[in-house]
Amino acid sequence: MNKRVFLLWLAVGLLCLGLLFTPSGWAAIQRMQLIRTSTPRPAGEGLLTEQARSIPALYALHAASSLEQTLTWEESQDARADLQRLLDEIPALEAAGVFTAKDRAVLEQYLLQEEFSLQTAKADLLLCFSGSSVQEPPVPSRYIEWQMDTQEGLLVSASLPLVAEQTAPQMLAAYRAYLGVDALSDWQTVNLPEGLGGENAAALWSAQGQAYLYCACDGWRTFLGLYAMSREELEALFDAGTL
Amino acid sequence: MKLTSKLALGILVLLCFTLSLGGGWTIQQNLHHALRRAESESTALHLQQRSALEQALRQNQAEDVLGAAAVGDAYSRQLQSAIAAQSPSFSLLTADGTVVYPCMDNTISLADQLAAIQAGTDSIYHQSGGGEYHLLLASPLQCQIQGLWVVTAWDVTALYSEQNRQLVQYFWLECLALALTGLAAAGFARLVTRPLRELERTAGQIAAGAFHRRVQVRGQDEIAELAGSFNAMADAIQQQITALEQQAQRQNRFVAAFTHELKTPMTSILGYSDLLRLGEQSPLCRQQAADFIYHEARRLELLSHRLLRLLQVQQGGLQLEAVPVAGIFRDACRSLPADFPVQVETHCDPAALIRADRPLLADLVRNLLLNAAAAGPRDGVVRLCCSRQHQGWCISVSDKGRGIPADALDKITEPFYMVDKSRSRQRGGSGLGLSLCDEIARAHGSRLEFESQVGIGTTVRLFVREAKE
Repeated sequence: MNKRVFLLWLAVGLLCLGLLFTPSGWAAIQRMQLIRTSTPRPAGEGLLTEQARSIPALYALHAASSLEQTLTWEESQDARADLQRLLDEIPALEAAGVFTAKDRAVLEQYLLQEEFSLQTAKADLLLCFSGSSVQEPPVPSRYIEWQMDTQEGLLVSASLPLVAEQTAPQMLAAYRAYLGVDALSDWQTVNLPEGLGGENAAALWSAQGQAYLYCACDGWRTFLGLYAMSREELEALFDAGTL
Repeated sequence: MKLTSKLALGILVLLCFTLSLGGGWTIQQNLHHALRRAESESTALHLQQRSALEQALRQNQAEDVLGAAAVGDAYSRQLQSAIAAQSPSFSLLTADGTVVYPCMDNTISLADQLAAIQAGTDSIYHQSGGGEYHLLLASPLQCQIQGLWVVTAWDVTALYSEQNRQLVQYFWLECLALALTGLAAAGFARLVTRPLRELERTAGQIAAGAFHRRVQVRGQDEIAELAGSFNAMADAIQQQITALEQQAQRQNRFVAAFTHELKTPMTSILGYSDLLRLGEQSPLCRQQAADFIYHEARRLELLSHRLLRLLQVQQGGLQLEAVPVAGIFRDACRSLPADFPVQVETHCDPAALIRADRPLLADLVRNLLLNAAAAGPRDGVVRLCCSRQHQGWCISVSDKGRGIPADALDKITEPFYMVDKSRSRQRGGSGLGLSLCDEIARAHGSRLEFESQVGIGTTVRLFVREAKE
C-alpha cells in the first residue's frame, strides 16, 4: 500500500471515529448550553395565570376550591351582624351598576325588615352565608345565600329574592367590572343548555381565570356568581342539568 | 486505490454519517421531550405547592420570617409523610437572598436558587451540581410577609442518565453496524467490480495478441453496456488488424509479382542484347534477337502504362456525371480490335442512366469483353447486359467459356495474378487487367462480382447507382 492510499485510509478512519463520537459531543454541547439558563414555563391547561391570580376574588375562589375538606356550616352567632356585611356591600353593587336604585331599595327593605336564621362557613379567604326568613309561617322561597371574599369584601356570589330591573347580560357586564375580573381578556360567552337558567340568563367563561361568571333572573329571584371552574367541570355541570 | 476499496469506504462513511447524525438527533429529541414532560409536571406541582404554602401561611397567620419558617417546616413534614421515602425539595427565601426555610438538595446552591428567582415566574431554571440535574421554579407567595418566594426543585438527573446510557448503547451499536456493513460493503464491492476485473484480464490478453478474446456480457446495467462496447471495440480492432495483415500480404505479393514480371522481360532483353554485343550474328539470328527485344520492351511499356493507370484510379479524384449505359456499351464495342474473335450481344435499357466516369467505365467493359473472349466461349458469343436492380443498374458480361476455378475466384482481381500464366503471356497479358477493372469499380462505389464454373462459363457483374436527372 503506498503512502497516499495509507493516508486516505487514515483520514477516512479518523472521520468515522469523529462521526461515532458526534452524538456524544453534540449532547455535551447541548447540555452545556442548557445548564444555568432558563426556559419558558409551559402554559398548562387548567392552570391559573399570574394575572388572574392577582385578582383577589379569583384568588379567593381558587384557594377555597383547593381545600380538600368540605365546608363546615355552623349557626351564625350574630345573624344581624352577618347580614350587615351584605347590606354594606349593596351600595357598591348599585354604584357598579349591578343593581338599580329600585333594586337596592327593595333589597334593603327586605333585608332590614325580616329576621333571618343564618348559617355560616369559612373556606380560607371566602365567607359563606346561607339562611332563610324566620317569619311564620315559613316562606322557604325567601332564602338568601351569599359568599364574600375576606380580602376586598366583594360579593363573589349571591342568590337573593329580587326581581331585578335590568336584563341578565346588563347585570353580568356590570358584575364583571365590579369583581375586577374584566382585566382578563378571554371571557367567552357560554351557551346555556335548553331549559337551564330561564329566559333571562347569561354566562361567561375564562381560560386565564379558570372561572365561570353567571347571572340569571328567574321570576322572583336573582342569581349572581363567580365560580372557580375548569371547562370540563362546567360541561359536567351542564350534563348534570345544573348551573 | 482500487474501486472496490473506494466503494466500500464510501458506503461506510455515508452510513457512519447517517447513523451518527440520525442517532444523535433522535437521542437529543428524546431528552428534549422528556424534559418538556418534566417541565409540565414540575410546573403543575410547583403551583400546587405554592397554593398550599400560601394557605398554610394564612391559616397560621404567619407575619414574619420565623412564622414562615415554622410553616415551611410543618409543610415539609407533611410532604415527607405523604411522599414517604422521597424528601420534598423546596425552600423559602426572600428576593435579596435571605433563606427563611431551607429544604433543598445539597447540590443546589443558594446562587442557583437566586438565579431561579431572577429568571422570574414565567421561566424554569436548569441547574446542575454534584453530578445531579434539577429544574428550579420560583414564585412569589401572596402572604403578609413581603417579598417571600418559594423555590421548588424537580430532580431530572434520571433523564440525563438515560441519555448517557442511550449514547453509550448507540455508540456500540453503531460500531457493530459499521463493522458488519464494512464486511458486507467489501463483499458487495467485489461482486460489483468482478466484471471489471474480467474486462481488465481480457484487455491484457488482447494486448498480448489474443485478438479473438471477448468479455462475457451479463445483464443490462452500465457494466454490461461497457462490456458490450469493449467487445465491439475488440471486433473492430480485430477486423482492422486482419485487414492490415491482408493488405500487407497483398503488398508483399504485389512486390513479388511485380519483381517477377519485371525480371522475366529484363532477362530476355539482357540476354538477347548481350548476344548482339558478342559479335557478328547471322541476319536471321539478329532479326530474332531484335524481335524478342522489341516484344519484351513493348510488354514492359504496356505494363508500366497499366500500372500508371491503376495508380491514377487508386488515387481517386474521379468526376462522376450522368452517363447513358448504352453510350458506354457503344464506346467499349467500338474500341475492340477489328479481329475480335467473338460476337458481342448487347442488351440494354435505353433509359438506363448512371453516375460514372464514361471513359473509365468503357475501359472496364472493354477489359471484361477481352477476358470473356479469351475464355473461348463455346457458342462464340459474349453477352453484354444492363438490367434494373434496386435503385441502380446491373451491368453484366457473361460467356460460356472455360470458366475460372473456385479457388482462384477471390484472387483474380489481385495485381499480376493470372489463372493460366502461359496462355495469358502468349496474348501479351500482364495480370493487371482485372485488378484495374476492380479499382475502377471501387472508384464508382461498387465491386466486381464473379460467378463462374469450370467448363460452363463465367458471369461478371457490376452494380452502379442510378443517376437522377
